[in-house]
Amino acid sequence: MSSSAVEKKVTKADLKQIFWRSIPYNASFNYERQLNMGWAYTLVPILKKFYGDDNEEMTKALTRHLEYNNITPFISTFLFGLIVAMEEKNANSEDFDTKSISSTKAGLMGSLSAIGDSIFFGTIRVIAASVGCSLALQGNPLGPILYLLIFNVPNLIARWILVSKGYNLGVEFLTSVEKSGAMDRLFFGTSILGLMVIGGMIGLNISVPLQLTFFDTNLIDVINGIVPNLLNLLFFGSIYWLVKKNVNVVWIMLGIIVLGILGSLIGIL
Amino acid sequence: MEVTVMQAVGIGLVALFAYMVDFCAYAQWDRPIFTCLLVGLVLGDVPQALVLGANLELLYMGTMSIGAALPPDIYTGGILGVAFAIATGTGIEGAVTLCLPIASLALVVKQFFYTFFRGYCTHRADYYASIGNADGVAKMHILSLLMWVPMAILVGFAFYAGSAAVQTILDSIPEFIMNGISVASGMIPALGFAMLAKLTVTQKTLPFLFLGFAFVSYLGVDVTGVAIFGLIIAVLAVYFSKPNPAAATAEVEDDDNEF
Repeated sequence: MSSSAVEKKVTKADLKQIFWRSIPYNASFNYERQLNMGWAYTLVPILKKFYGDDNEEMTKALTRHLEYNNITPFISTFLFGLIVAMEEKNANSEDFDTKSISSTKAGLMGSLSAIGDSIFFGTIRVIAASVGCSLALQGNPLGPILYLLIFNVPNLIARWILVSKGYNLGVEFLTSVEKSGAMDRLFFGTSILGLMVIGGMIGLNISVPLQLTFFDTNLIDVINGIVPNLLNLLFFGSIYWLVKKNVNVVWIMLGIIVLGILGSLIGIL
Repeated sequence: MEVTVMQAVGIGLVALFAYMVDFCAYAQWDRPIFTCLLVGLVLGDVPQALVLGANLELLYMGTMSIGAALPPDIYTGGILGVAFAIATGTGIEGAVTLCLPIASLALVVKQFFYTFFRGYCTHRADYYASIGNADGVAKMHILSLLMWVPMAILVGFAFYAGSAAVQTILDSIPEFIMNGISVASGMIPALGFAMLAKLTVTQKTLPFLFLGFAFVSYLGVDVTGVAIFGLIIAVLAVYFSKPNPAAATAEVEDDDNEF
């Protein structure tokens, strides 16, 4: 576009602003296009910088950033940084294909979210909640507070670091990440941590109070004599199997409640 | 316990604060494990509120909005569940019994706002975009937060008006059903764990789930301890694993593990 104008450069301050504006990124969830308004909201200052003097370009930019959007908020700044790099290129060149901005956004949202969800929901929040719950169950108010800290320190650090990471890797991000396999190893590492904690909670936080006696021996003692908490593991395994089969979660939950009530009625639970 | 107007206003404010989580880095303070502390402060029984909140959290650990899927609104359910359980003195059974129906009802109300009010906001944003007005678009994002005010008022009002009714309903439920729900509440966490595990289980990572289980069952380590061992093992495993992108990618996608 305006080749006569001086080159529009993204500064450190611009990236810092992306971080701050990413904080309320998912505040306007809606059914039609999900987090689209928050996405546009975060980019508003940078779009003003690039297209503030060109109403036509501004209209196009706002429109493409109000498209359907949804990415795990905690890592959203990575994609924001990446897209800012692309918008910067567009603002400074005549023939940049803006469709590539939309397609990059759409293409990466899903795969980045899969990683972000498993790290933040599957691992960090599991650890935060398990520590928080174990303290809260003893009536210790530090539980909820630690829960909040354990989750949000990584949350804010990730948002902060990923803006410039996304921006710097720019358009070449995908190839370089795939070459080093860094994402996969990160995913592998956090999966280990998350699964170990889940495994621990299977032992500690599930209770299947089976009350079945044969010849004066309580069946639960026999089972736990083989492997401690084996009943928990078996119960988890069968629920996992149902989840894996994509059985509706609400049905599974109702099923467990019915099981509890029936078991309680005939006196084995 | 007689619910005062001030307490009802307090519960409404707790709800408003919880809903604002979307505006504040999605900091997850809308979950029962945190809101229980606030409800306890409002109702003057922090220790009991903490135990109730922790129980609800364990119950609904895997319930979260990932992507577009909306689970029952356990945020509202958690606040009102804990508040009603304290006000009616029905403890964990009360909180568990109340949480899910309230959460399902709250989801319906929320969906109404998401569809109509926020549908309006996003179309206004489209209009501002079409005239190149960036500030107008940003304003619509902020305006969409307004929906939480009526939601919070509803929560406060429900608490004020509902305690007596809730007490009557809970009292009329037969003993074995309450007991059964209490038993179920010990087993439901398995569901949350299963949903979380589904996010990360691959053939390569499945053994670590059993390792965590064995640490707890045989060595009596608590969850914090497992997290520390887990961190060390994760760092070592990543350090010693060969950076082999092709194989690693194949591994991640292949989650046909047999259980």
